[in-house]
Amino acid sequence: MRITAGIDVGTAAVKAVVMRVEGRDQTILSQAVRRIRRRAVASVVEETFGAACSAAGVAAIDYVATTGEADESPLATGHFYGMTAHARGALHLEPRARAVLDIGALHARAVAMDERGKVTGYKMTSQCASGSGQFLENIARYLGVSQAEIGPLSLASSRPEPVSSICAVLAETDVINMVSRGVATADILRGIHESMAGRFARLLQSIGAGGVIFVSGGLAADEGLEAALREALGRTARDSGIPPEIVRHPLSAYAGAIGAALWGAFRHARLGMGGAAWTATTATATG
Amino acid sequence: MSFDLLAGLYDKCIVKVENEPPGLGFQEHIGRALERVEDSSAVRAEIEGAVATPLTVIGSVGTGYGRARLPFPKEQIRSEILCHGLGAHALFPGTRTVLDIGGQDTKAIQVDAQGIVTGFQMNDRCAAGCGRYLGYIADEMNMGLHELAPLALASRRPVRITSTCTVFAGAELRERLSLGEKREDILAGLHRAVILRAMSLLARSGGIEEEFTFTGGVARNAAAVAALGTLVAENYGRRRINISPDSIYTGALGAALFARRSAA
Repeated sequence: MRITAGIDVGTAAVKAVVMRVEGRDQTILSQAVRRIRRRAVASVVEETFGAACSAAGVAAIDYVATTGEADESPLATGHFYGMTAHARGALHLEPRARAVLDIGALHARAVAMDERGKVTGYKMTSQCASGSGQFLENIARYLGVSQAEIGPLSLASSRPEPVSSICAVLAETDVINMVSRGVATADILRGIHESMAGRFARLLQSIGAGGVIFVSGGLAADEGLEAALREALGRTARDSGIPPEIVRHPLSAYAGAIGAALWGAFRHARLGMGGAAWTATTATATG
Repeated sequence: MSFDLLAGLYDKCIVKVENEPPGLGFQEHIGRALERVEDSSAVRAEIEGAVATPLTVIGSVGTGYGRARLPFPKEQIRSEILCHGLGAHALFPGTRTVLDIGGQDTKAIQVDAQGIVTGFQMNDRCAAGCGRYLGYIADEMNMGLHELAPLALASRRPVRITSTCTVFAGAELRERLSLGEKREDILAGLHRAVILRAMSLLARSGGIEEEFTFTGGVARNAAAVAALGTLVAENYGRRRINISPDSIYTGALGAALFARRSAA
């Protein structure tokens, strides 16, 4: 039996999980997430990891795996690529998944994989934050809508306002123009969701993703975006026949951390490593 | 959503001075000037006669981002490119190249000897490289827009900003601050980044061959002007950059000149 931790350092938040791995029996013991905001990343990593460890109630951790932007964290036993960590984590949460769409604060990435988590295709949005989580967060702020309200409002839209691909910063004036034209908040949000979904559908298409697509990252919780994505993928798949299936999970945001923890357990076993990577100083580590 | 909230949001995009009406009217200015002239009775009579002549609007032309909203017929609307070209020509008659960096877009314009546009390049729906980029950075740093330039000018070792996108640059700014880099060095790098985007537009529009005029709100930012001076010198050799203290009115001036032409 191995106890491992996975820490996924994103651009806006740090996610950590602690897992117990015994062959095919893989259990998530605890998870924690902390927003970085304007703090030093290293201290947020420490805080998130500490919260996950105390929630797990374990005395020692065999392997601490990092992924994402955690270059050389002093806590880490080893580091794993974001795409492999997300592929592995998605498979853990949804074994039928053959692709991952990870929608983070600044970037979106599409990963195609086989049933064992081997990455067969990868593409990331770059250059620009249009359509990212930060972009949607900005728009919600301009509209005075909280994060939790975005999805339900978007689903309630009856006449989505078409939005062409827009800059995350200049969207402020675009949104003001829409509001002053009398467009309803719900219709603006749905229009934005549709524009983002179109971009993500093209991203998934470009790597040949099909079948069951798992959505991870902070925006996976947004049901309005999910509905728009389902529609966009249904449209693009009309010629090829079977529309891809979109799946998300309450722990979607932790997919990268889960994948890292599992890869950590795999490497720990492969290399026959011994000794603890972390021990609870307050706990009496006798077992 | 209330009008005040909207106005407040919109205000953030605009340098405060643009919303201030001129302090004195034409008559008051003339009156004050005449007070300083000795034995001015003859002059005064002439000028007061001229000033008292009732003015009538013989034509008006609308331009700018919101030109479609003006209650003008279509033939009285001109693109901001044409108006900026002509306005810059009126301010500096030798101008052949105009760089206009406004709140939401950046234009590099080539004009002929009459101020008529012969070519232009414009950034498309992207905040990187225009005034809003600096506004976003000011918000990120919890500073006023007017505080950026003095701090950036204090930099001794400007950093090289690697991000293009405004949002990414904001993330890079936070990261560099947390690494302990100096605020002035990062800010100087960000000003340079705005101007670098403009340099590529300038190059694509045909570069700077002769006299060069810088207009728009960002022309009031001394750090941006300094960065432009350096980069222009590196790419086109040392040359004078025309900047009018009234640079933000260049487009309006061009529109007025078009109005006069069509009225004549």
